[in-house]
Amino acid sequence: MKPTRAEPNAAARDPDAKLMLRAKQGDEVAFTQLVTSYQDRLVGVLTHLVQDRQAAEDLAQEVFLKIYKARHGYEPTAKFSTYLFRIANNLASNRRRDVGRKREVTLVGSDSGPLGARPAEQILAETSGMMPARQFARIEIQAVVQDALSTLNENQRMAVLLHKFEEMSYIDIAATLDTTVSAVKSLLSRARENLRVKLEPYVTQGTWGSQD
Amino acid sequence: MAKISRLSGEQRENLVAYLDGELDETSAKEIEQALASSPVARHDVDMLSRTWDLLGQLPTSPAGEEFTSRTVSSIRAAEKPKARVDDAAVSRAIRRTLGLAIAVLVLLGAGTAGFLGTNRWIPNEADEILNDYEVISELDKYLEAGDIDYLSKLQEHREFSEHDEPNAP
Repeated sequence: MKPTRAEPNAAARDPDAKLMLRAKQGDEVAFTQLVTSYQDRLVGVLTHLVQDRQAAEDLAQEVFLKIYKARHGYEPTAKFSTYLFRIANNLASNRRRDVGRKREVTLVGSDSGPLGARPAEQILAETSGMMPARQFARIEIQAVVQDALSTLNENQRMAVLLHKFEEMSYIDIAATLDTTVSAVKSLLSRARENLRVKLEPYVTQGTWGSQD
Repeated sequence: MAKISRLSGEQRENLVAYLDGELDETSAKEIEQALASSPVARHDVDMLSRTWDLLGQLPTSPAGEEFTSRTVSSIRAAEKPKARVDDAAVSRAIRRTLGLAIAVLVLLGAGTAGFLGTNRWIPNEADEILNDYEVISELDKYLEAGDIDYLSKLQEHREFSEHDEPNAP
């Protein structure tokens, strides 16, 4: 394995960490710059994580608010992106727990699955008659991939999203998820093996949606 | 021909790390040797790679147009009420203390005025007796005389004066 610790000076050289230090000194413009730099990335990851666009935006807003409120205690011990996604992961975990508790009460009589969302196949069946074939094929691929992603546990999913969309190294993912690099290696190995099992039929046959 | 089953558990775990470029040189060479001798392992790596690429098909979900302004506004809103609450709390505390002090002063004033008022302006039984003491002390004489005009006329005559009586011839 490669080195398992983040380089200490990396945080000090991180331009976003410098912006955050300016925000800590009361520079609102610097903080607004951070919001605009990270909002799309954050909302994107959170949307795939919680599978609810509006909830993702609300969570992202909460993340920025939390960071701003904690600005006086900010110390650049890691890259700013690591710091931001660690807070995002914690808030998303809290939300999942809250939603889980509420669902225990409201699930009776609902047609939701254990994860709350209806199966991709059901949604596709409802929408397939309303769009051109090419567009439908693309949406079908997205639904199948999203469905495969939703079968991963929350840590696996976050690790996959950070690695795929944020191009984070194992070291940074470990710092974000507050775990070891070795644990991240196992997480990603299992996650990608699960994705392979789910998606391989679609890759080899090239016929989207033909599998249950 | 080597089969995938010949890969150790650690090697299987390392396949993904190998694809991600996260293995050190020694472990990477070990995986390359295993891949070179196992078509099943090569197939697995190929599938891991192609299914991973499928994630790129997921729709992007940028933040809404109003996200930045909403977020900055919510941050300002979250900060301002705190300041307002602090100022308001201080103002309320000052007003409350002043009000309490004024109420105490009013009560003390009212109490003092009430005490003085009742003692000075509302006569009690003893005051009445003291005021009428001169009459009361001579009441027997007044009752014997029976008429105040008669007593007045007697006093006008020197012969009946009390002071002159011991010297009278």
